[in-house]
Amino acid sequence: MNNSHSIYFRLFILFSMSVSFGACVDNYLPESKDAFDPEAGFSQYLYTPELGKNKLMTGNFNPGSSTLPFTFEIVNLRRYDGSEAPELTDKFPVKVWKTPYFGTETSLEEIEAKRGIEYRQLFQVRKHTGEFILWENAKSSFVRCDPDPGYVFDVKVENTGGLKYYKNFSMMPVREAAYEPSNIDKETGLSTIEYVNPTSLSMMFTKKDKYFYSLKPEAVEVYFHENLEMPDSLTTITFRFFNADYIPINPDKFNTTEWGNLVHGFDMVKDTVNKFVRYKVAYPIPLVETPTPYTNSTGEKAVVNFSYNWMYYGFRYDSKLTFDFAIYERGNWEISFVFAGGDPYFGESN
Amino acid sequence: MKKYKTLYLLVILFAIMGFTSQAQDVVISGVVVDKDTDSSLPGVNIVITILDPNAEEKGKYKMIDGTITDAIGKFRIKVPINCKLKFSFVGYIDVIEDITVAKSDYKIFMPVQNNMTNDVVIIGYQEKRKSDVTGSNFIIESKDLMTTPVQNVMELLQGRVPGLNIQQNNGTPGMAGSYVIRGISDINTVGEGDNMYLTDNSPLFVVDGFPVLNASEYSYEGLVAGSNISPLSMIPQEDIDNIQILKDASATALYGSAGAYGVILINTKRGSSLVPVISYNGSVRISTPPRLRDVLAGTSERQLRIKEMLENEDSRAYAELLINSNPAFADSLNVYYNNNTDWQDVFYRTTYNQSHNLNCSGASDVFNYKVNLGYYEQKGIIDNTGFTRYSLRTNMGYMPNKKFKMTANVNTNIGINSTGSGNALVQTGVADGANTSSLLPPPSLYTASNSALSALSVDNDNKNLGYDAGLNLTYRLTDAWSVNSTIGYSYSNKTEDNFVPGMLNNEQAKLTSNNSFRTSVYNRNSISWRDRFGLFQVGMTIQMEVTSRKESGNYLTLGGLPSDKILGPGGYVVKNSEGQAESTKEYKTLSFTFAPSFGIGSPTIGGNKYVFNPSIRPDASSVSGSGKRWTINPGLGFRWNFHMEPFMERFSPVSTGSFRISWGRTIRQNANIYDIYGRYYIHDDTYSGQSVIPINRSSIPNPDLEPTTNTSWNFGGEMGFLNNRYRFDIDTYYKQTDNILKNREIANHNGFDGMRSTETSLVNYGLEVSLQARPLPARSKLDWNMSFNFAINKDKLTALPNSVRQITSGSDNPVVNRVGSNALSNYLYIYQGVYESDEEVPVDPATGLRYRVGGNNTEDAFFRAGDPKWLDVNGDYVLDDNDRKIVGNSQAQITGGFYTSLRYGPLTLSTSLSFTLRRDVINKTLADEFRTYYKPEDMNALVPIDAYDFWTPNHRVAKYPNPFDYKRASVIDPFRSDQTLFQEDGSFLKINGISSSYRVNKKHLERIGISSMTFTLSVNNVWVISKYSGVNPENVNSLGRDVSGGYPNSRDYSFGVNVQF
Repeated sequence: MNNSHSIYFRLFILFSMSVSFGACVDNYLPESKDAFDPEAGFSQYLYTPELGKNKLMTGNFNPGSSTLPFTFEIVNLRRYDGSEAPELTDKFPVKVWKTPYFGTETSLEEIEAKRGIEYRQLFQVRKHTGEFILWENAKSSFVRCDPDPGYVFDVKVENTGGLKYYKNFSMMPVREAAYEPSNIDKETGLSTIEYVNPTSLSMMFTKKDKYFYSLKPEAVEVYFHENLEMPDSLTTITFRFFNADYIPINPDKFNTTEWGNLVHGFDMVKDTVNKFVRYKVAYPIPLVETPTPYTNSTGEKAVVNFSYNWMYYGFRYDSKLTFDFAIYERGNWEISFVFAGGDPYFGESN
Repeated sequence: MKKYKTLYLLVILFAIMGFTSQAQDVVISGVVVDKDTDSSLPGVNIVITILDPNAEEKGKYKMIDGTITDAIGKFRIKVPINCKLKFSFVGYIDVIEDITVAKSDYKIFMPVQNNMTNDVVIIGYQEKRKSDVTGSNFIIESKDLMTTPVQNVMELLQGRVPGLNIQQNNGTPGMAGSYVIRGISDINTVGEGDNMYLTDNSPLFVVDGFPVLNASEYSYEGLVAGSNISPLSMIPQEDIDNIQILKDASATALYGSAGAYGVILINTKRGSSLVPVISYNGSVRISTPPRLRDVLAGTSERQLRIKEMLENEDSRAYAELLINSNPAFADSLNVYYNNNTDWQDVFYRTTYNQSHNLNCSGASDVFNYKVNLGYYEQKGIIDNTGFTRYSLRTNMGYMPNKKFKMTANVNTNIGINSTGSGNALVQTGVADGANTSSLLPPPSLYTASNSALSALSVDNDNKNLGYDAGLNLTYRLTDAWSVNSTIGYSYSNKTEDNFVPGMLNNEQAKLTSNNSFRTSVYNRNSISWRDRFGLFQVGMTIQMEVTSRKESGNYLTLGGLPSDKILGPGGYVVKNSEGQAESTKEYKTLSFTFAPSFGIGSPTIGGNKYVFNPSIRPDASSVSGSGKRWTINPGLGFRWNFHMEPFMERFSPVSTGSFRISWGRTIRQNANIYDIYGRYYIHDDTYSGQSVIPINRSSIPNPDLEPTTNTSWNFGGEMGFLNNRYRFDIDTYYKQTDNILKNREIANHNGFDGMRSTETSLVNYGLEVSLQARPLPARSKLDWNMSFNFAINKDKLTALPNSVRQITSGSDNPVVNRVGSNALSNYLYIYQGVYESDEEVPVDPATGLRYRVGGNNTEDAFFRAGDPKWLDVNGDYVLDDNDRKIVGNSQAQITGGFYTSLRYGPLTLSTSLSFTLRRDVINKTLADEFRTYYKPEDMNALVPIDAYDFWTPNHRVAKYPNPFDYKRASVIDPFRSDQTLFQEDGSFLKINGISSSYRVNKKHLERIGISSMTFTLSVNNVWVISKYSGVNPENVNSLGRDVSGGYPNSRDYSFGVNVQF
């Protein structure tokens, strides 16, 4: 009995020796480490993002044949002169999207519910892609921007196969524009001209001395300005129309305009006395650079169409003013269309 | 006078008797029984030997006559007095009985052969006792194999040998599956996408002492296992005597220039019976296709297509336009409207096959011979495919005296096979054809499905003609010295003719002809010396081996033949025709082996207690780089047969026990001379009417190429209990394969695309356990044999060219080689479910944009409800190649099997099971089934997917994405196969076969002159038990992809008869 026990014991020893042999082999073989291609690297070392909007800088890292993902980290972020840059390293409350925006939301609250506040550094690198983000809160008021040489930083890139520092990136932000199209000089922040022009006019005429003259976009001046009298708690957009003599034009004159779908705004007020149209909206406009019914085809700009039609000697004319724009700064913005080159002709009855 | 007459007669009679036999003849009879069980043994060979008066040496016996025992073990024979009777039977130790008196009640007890100590195995072309073997090897006798008829005997080894991973992954008749010993040794892949395969990892096969390569260099698909008729399919299973598998480098060391992937020795039968034996084996088989997939048919298919279009098209008007523009959907008077064609039925069929094998053999003590004539037919379960083999195999042995021995064999075989419109590995045409909509009319001269027609009417004819001859001479100078010389020649010719009728090829009938041949000459000479000094045994073998192999081929396409009937000689369209001759490739190796051996014997029992086998083999080859012509391959083996130690006498249940340790290195030449010296070729273009001969810039010559080297350690133990009724074998090994030939990319300013390098290394290590038992007591009437084995293998890549850590190969569904992890991993998107609603799609906090598919800027690229939720690995909210992850292992990690055989009187029943565990399979077939919904307007078969849990607007929590959103399918591709959704566990347990046989009582046979007759009823490829959702987890390609074009394995029912005369 004893003998057979010891045999089983020997068998067990043999078996466990074999198993442990397999287990210890692993220690002498190469570890499963990520590949870090020595050729991997950034393709761009100078970044000139625009301030005032969320700016994503993509396509700047070539991983070669490395194992992905890498982990990226900005280190040693400093001003060009070498001093610290707390304006970019400190955390600020940033409004970010939490759930997708479709353009079909039916209230301001619904839109706002999709966004939330997060505390983030204003200049970040995406942890696993090497893309840089400059958040919209970075403004020229406290962030150095062109023509200042801006900031210098290094990036630490690592995976389990290695670690590498890529040095001396420079970021030279460009002064923000509160709205687009912009009339502000990027370097000085001063406006070179007071107004911008609409994108296009179609079949719009002015009548002078019994003759009709076609209106060109240059004939219409578009002014952006913030209505500072309105409370900060509100975010609205207002459209006003003036003739060449700055006499307000009743928005109802644009009789075929789809006022309800003009912008992705709510609680429209069409004041025919003070002659403006106002919506409660969420900023920026457009909210997301994706095509919606309120944007142009690429989704980069919101688009408004003011249209009307009129009869003239039995002919019906469809006229339209199209304006592509974007507003990045939150506020109560007013957009005024001044028909400086001649009042549009709305027809006999109007 | 009458009295004298009688006297004269008597005198003459005595005189005649005196001439015919010098001794007095007597009739004796008796019975032969098993010493343990006391059960009678039928068919025991009995040889009568008498003292040879003419022999120079005294005491030499010569054979004069013989017989065999009958069905109940009885014998009756006329013998001279004072002769010796030698009883021999497979599996038993020979018994010699002196006949001194005439008795009728001889009872001969035959002891069962103690497998471990006395079996003779062949290692390095030399016979050795198994107890002297230091390496890891496994031998399996043909009588222990299932009696199921198969085209390739390796099928029967599945699950029988620990560490030999056999996957029957190719059902094409005549082709072989994949055989890998102790994990893969080559990590290269061939082809792209669905047609991506692992290069050949097959071991070296040595048939009767002559090496045979499984994969041919010159084949259409390249060096892929099973890419043309396997040379193993050319050996009839009835002709096989035993198969021996050598696993570690110490065992394979002596097989030199090709043994690095392991060695399998196949020994065919030789004549052994003094009475000439004629045996016939015949079988009829029914091969049935596996369960085919369900498809939607007729009205239900049409309704579903219409519904899908109406619900998912951008506008209803456009959907109606699509429907109305297709008569099969909308025009009830159209001939395309009212069809219900079962396309699978067109291609898949049940076939009836037969095979016949006639074996004649005989032996005397100076001469033995065998002639085996075989015919085997396997019509493919896919129409227009099949395999037929005719073989004639002969061998003979001649031993005029004790010193000289000559064996010779001559084998010829013809294999004819057709792969239809597919090739040896896949039947893409059939897959497409069978994947045709049931709404299309059935095939006729006019058919709507071109691939279907081509699968049926392409005429593919492959002929493999093989001829080989070998001669082996041994001369034993003294007991210690012997000289051996082996010469072999083999020739094989493969022709493949492929004819495509005009109507399938724009009215231009096309003939393609491939012709290749290979000759090889093999010569091995050795001189060996072995002697014993007291307890010590010392030996030395010096061997020289020369191999020479030539391969050549040409290729011819004639396009635009005069008609479908006239195929030439002239009349074809020259611009559509081309011909190309492949230059002859030549391989030559010369190697020398010095193999000393030392052994220390045991004083108590015969045999060596300690065995020590060192060997060294310098190898030279024409295909090694010029700087690395010679490689030195040493080997070391040690064995301790501890059951011979005195202290083991206390452990009476232990009958045998030993430990083995071995280390060795072997090589395999994988490069060719063009890799080393570069290559010029004749360019298609000419310059001033002169042909241009530029250098081939695909690969820069590399003179430093080394042969693939396999260095392995093996630790083994064997134990037998209760007179070896229970046996337990365990082996652990470490196998390091270095210098694997792989392409290395080089910078393009070098002017070459890349170079061949031997910088890749791979390690396999694992554990093999085998248990064999005969649990019933020896005297039981029921004989029960069972064996169980399993092997765990882990592979780890340790080096890649240019010291990189990771290489991705293939673009569609890539394979990743990563240093430090398993060699062949999948590179997949991580599937995490389905987006239940649009709100659930992640959104980029910076841009506010939803997660989307990269490379497409349309609105369709953004994920929506019902789309697959793939992990965004790098967090950039764009799904692209950077989001793949290395997951899964396409190679099996645990394999094994179970075999049991029951015998009760004349009845036997045996079953063989095999299993493969921990293997990841990509179910591309299922992906393709879902993908049929991508294009409802196309006439592909629609597979019913009701059984799957997929997303619909009313059923949002689902396993599979929305299959019907076909407008966006080309952008999103929700059912791409390279995602974890389709990676499944490919573990399976397979019942390889069940076989029963009945041996007819001899009493009934004597009258018709038959000595034995056995009927066999068997089923092959019975059942696969698996959680895998596809048809068969084994029927996947070598990279673990279940491709819909694969040739399925058939289930065979067979009835066979074996008759001996």
